Order: sequence, then structure tokens, then C-alpha cells
Amino acid sequence: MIDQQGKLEFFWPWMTSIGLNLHFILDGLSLIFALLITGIGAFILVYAHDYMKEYAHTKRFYFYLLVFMGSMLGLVLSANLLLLFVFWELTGISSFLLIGFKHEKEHVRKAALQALLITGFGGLLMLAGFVLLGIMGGSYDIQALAVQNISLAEHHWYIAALILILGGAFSKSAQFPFHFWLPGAMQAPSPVSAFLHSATMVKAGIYLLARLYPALGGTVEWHTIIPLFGGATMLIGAYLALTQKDLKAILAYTTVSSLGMLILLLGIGTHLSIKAALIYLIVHAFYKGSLFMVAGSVEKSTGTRDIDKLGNLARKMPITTVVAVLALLSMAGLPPMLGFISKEVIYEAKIQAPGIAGYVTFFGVVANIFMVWVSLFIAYRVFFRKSYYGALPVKKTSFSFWIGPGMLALAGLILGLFPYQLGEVLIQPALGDITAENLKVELKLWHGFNRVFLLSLLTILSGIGLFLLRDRIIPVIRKINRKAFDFSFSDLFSSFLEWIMKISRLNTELFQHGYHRFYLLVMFIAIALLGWYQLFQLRFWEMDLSLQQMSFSTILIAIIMLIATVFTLTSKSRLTAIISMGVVGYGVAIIYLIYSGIDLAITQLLVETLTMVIFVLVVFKLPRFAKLSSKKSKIRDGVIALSVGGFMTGVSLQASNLNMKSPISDYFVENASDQAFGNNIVNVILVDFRALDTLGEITVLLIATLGIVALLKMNRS
Amino acid sequence: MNSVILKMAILVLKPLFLVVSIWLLLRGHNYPGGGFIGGLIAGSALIFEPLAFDQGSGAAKNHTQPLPFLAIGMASIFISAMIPILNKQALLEGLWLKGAQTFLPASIKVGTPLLFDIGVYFTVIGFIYLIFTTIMEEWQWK
Repeated sequence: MIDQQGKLEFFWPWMTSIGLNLHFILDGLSLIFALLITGIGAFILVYAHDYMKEYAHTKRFYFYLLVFMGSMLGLVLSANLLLLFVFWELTGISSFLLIGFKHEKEHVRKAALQALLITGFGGLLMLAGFVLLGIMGGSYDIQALAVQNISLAEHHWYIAALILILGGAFSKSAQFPFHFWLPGAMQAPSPVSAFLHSATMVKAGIYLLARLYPALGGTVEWHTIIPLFGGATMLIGAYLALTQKDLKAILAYTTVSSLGMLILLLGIGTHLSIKAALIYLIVHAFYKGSLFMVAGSVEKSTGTRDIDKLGNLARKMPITTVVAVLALLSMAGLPPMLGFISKEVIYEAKIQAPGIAGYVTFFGVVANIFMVWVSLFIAYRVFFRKSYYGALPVKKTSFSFWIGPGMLALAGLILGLFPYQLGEVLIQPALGDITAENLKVELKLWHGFNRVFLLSLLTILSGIGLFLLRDRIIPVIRKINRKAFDFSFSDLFSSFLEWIMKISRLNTELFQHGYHRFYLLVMFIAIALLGWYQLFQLRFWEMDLSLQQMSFSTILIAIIMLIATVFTLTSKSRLTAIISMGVVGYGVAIIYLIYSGIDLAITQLLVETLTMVIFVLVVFKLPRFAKLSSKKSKIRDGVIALSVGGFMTGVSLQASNLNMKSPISDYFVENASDQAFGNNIVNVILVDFRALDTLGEITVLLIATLGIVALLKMNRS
Repeated sequence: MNSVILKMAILVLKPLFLVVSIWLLLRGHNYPGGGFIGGLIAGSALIFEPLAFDQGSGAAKNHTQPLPFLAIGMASIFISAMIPILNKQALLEGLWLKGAQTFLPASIKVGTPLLFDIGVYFTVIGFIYLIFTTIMEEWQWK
């Protein structure tokens, strides 16, 4: 259904008791993302048709890709935080499956797992943040939270919730220090890199921040933490892109940088900077999606992505070159591309950023200079360089290899020439949704000769200058890298994983040693310690023991049971021991009978008999009875047994003295006949009042049976 | 165990135990008894034969199979738990067929709790019977 503000809404109750409903809203912000997902997704599918031809299991590939597309759409349309989390994790899982698509290779599996663990961990943090937010705001509905911004910001959990949610957003959007999974994810086939890891999935964190800006934004913490991480990521990504040799790795690091820029802009949080973020989001999806697909085409036709081996493709792949140049122009932010407009708006936003204008402008310019340099570098190395080692044979590529990237690159050009419609139709409603104000967005290609244009000019000229001096500068950078960055985050992460594995192995060896008697020992010691602690807390020595209430017959039976116990312990024959144990059991049954627990007594008698029969059956197959335990272990076992037994006695005695609330048994007695239609209260409790407990017990019985049978059958082999 | 007395006694004991177990099961809602106790007794009835006659030979194959008991038991429990849900009530809510009272003695009441108890009865039988037969077959107990 469509509400007054022209938003599409769909509501279907799911788990209303925890506030989780299938609630989807399509508003301006969702629309931008939904269009990117479906639009770019369509081109990706066309592109993948030929790209994936040589692979096995292509059906599986398309399945994963469409699962991703569906869950990403769900993510951007969800109007409920918990629902959003469900889709968030689904995108993570489909991303894992897609990165690990060539799962025969170990490093591919490793990269996939790394991405899954980092984004999954972040997702869990985010869930915790959502729960806090839900408690603070009393709802998981994003719209309901958005209207109580001030009360949320003043809540003493605000910082905790913000940091947890940022953990999710930063890990998904590959922000420093989680950035390293994204370059690792380049093990995925190129359509995946173009779709998930540049255009859509990694923007989920950006989406989340934009979506929650009305609820959480505008505070000092928001304006401090987010720009800090965004800015750092922006610089680190751009810097690390310079020295990469793999074409896709270069693109991946520039993506990290762009994501940092987006986060930074959302962190600044002025209307202008949010507008800039929205434009840049679209621009980046267009040019980076296109470039990744170009990189895939290059790899398919030449067989390599190494920029040292590539060169002079302009003559052999003319159409791809035109596409790449258009996309790179957008990345460098040159007119007349949409990239130019977005860069102008970004500079404008940074200059006007309250408080931190100087820093963000300076670092923004630095990062953009690197971008210009990288763009020139890719264009020169891959497409226009005349001299290079080893001319590679170039295969002809089909139509579908350039139509997808071509359309995206062209979109960057056309929207650059006619930006007004983009601003009015897409950016303006989205900006209205985030800022809750009706702002007019007018985009123009030519802003006039002002300070922003001067900054642009400076950026481009410096970029070209650095590019010309590359032969002097790159060795210096490499040298710095060798000294300062002599480690990779990815390796640190895997050694961290190994460390966890080591700990868990130690832990397993300590507790899961496979000796039944020690398991029992540990369990009993734990029970005794915890139990005795609790008994001391209750001051058990003060309890009121009224032994005179015991009848003579009870005392007699107790004495018989004691004697039987001693007999069990000292007997030299197993059979005798079993029978005297049975005597103890029967004694218990008789005590039940004395206190008129007939059902219990019958059950106890039957179980005791059957246990003895089973024991007798098994005992004949056991080796001859022998005294194997040493005196020491006997004393140890005796102490443990006595303390557990003593604790049980203490608890039983204490139980009759504790009356914290009126016992529920009265309720059962009163209502068994009326409500449950039965007179035998024990049975009514079992099958009606507490039927769920019985269900659980009977399930345990079944599982135990199957376990016993499995153990017995194991003997055969 | 090769006891002639036990072998002959089984002819009487087995049907007797089974009848008593069913009686206990049905009266359980009002008087001592119920599915668990009934199941234990019926389970004992079923293990008489394997105990009295040598197992581990081909004889075991002709006996009743233990696994269907477990399956029937769990199925009855599942059905009795789900019927209230189909009736838009809470899981395991007791529903009674009061109309059946005209044909039955007052001590037996038909409803989902009875079905639940029958499920317990069969599961317990299956539990005892399966463990016994497995011990005997696997360890060639004679």
C-alpha cells in the first residue's frame, strides 16, 4: 500500500512478541539503493553469462548471486531493525559463498572465511547495538526510533549502542581496521567483485548510517568517531592502492578509500555533506562496477591481471578501452563526468564542515590526488603503454563483456551532462528522508570559477604531476612500506585465528579427554562445589530438623538402606553389589509408599527391577572383577562421593525449610479435577499442566536410547 | 538362561502384563498408573521372551521390531501436541472429547492428554525393548 508521502509500504506480522515483523518501506533513500541493486545487478547478470561460461556449477553461481540480490534488496527495504539484521547476515553468507566460489584453492577458501568472520562478527556487534537501541527507544521500528532522536542521544547507553552499531557498519563497509577483508575478497569472480564488493554490499554500512542518522545522528560522538575512522580509511586505502600490482587489488583499495570518504561525509553530517555522500554513492557504483567488469574482461582476454605484464591494450581492445577511459575519468573526477560534479559537491561540503573543515579538506584533497594518480596509472599501464615485456596473446571477447560496463560508464557521462534530473528525482527525496527537511537539490556541471574549482584544479594538476614523477616516487613509497608496513592485516588476522584454535585445542584436551570416569569426576566436583557454596549462603546449619516426626518404619528402612550401601561398597562380587544396590532402591520405593506417593513408588520399583536386570545382563560380559584402584584414588573418590551425597542431603533437608513463595502444588490440587479433568494429580501434571516438560524428557529418553544402541553396535566393528 | 519354568510361565505372564499395562495406562488420569508406569510394565512383558529363549541366533528376527514402538510413541506425542495448534490454542493444551463419555466408563476420558500418555507409553516400551534386544544381539548373550 502507498501512504500519503508517496512511500510504498508492506506490513505482515511475523514474530510480534519480540517486535519482529515483515515490514518493508520504499522511500527515497531505499529507492537509490534498490535501483543500484537491481540496475547494476541486471548488467552483472548479462556480463556473467559469458564470463562464467568456463566455470563449473554456474547454476549454483547464479543461485548465490540472486540470493544476494534478494537479501540486499530486503536489507535496504526493511523498516524494522531486526529484519534488517536478518537480511544483513544473509548478504554476508551469500558473499561468503560467492567469494569462495573457486573453493578448490586454499587461499580462496581462506579469503572467503576471513570476509565471513569479520563481517559476521561486526554483524553480531550490530545486533547487540540494535537490541540496546530497541530497549532505549521501546521499538525496533526505524521510523518510530527516528522521531525520538534527542531522548536517544541523552540516554546513558547511547555511546555503547552507537559504537556497537558502528562496529557492524565499519566491518561491512571495510573501514580501517577491518578494511583488509575487501582486497582478500577479490578472489571472487569479477562479476561478484563488481556487484558485491564495490557497488552494493559494501555500501550496506553506508546505508545503515544514513538510515539511522535521524535516530542517532547529530551528536558530538557521531561527529567525532565516524569522521575519524572514515578519514583514516580514506587515506590508507588510497595510499595502499598505489603500490599494488594486481589490477583488481588496486581497484579494491580505491574502493576502500571511497568507502572511507562516504563514511567521512556521513560523519560530518551537514545537509551538504549528506547530499555529497548520496551523489558520490551513485557515481562510485557506476564507475567502480564498470571498472571491475573491465578488469574481468582484461583478465579473460589476456589471462593476467598483473599490471607489469599488461600494456597497449588500446589497439587490441578498443571498445573496452573507451569504456575504461570513461570510467577512469569519472574516478579521477574530471568533467564532464558525474564524478566531477560529485567531487565538487564533496569539496564544497568539506570546506563548510563545522569545526574540522581544515583537516577534512586537506586530507580529502590528498586522497583525491591519489585517485587521479591511480586513474592515470591504470589507463597508462594497461591500455596505452607501448613498451612492456612479453606481448600477451589477446582473445576476442564477446558483446556481453563490454555492454554491462559500457552502459554503466555511459550512465556516468550522461548523468554528468544532465545532472539536474538526477538531483531532483533521486537525491532530493533521499536527502529529505535522512534530514527530515524539504531541501531543494539542484545539480549543475559548471559551478563557476570559485574556490572549489580551484581545489579541483589543484587536485588534477598534482595528480598529473605525481604521475609524471612516478618513477622517482614509487620506489620511495615501496621503501617506506617495507619499513613501516612490514606486516599485512590479513596475516595478523590468520595468526589470531590460529591462536584461537590453539586455545580451543588446549581447552578440548583438558576437558574432552575421553575418559568417562574423569568426566564424572569433574561433573561431581563442580556440582559439589557450587552446591556447597549455595548451602553456606543459606546458612544450612541453622535449619530446623525435627527428627521426631519420623515414624519407626521409616527409620528402620533407612537403617536397612545404610547397611545395603555399606555392603555394596565392600562386596567382592559384582552380583552381590548389584543386588544390594537394588535393596537401596527398593527402600526408597517403600519410603515413597509410606508418604503415599503411589505413582512414584510404582515407578521406582519398576525402574529398579529393570535396572538390575540390565546390570545382570551386562555384568556377565565384563572382565573378571579385580581391584584396580589404588588406595589414593579410592580416598579421592570417597571424598567426592561423600561431599556430593552430603550436599544432596543438605538440599533435601533445606528444601522443606524454604518457603519462598506459596508452592504451586496447591494450584495443581485445586485445578486438576476442574480444568484438567483428572483426579490423579501426578499424572495430570505429567500429561497436562507440565506436558512440555514431559515432552522434553521423553525426547531425551529417545536420544539416550539411540545413543546407547549406537554405543552397543560400535562393539561389533 | 534356559529355564523351563520361565518359558512356561511366559505363556501366562506376557498377556497378563500387557493387559495390566493397558489398564494402568487408561486409568492413569484418575488413579495411580499412567503412560510411564504402563510402558515400563509392557516393556518388561516384551523382554520376557528374549530373556527366556536364547537370543543371538536366528530367533531374534522373528520377534517384534523395537523401532516402530519409538516411532509410534513420538508420532502420538507430536500429534497430541499439534492438535490444539490446529484448533488455534496453545501447544499441548488439553482438549477433551466429552461426547465420548456416553460410551465409556467414567474412569476413561478421551482427549489429547490421553493421546500424549499413549505416546509416552509406546516410547518407554520402545526404549526398554530396543536396549534389551540390542544388548542381547550384539553381545551374543545366552
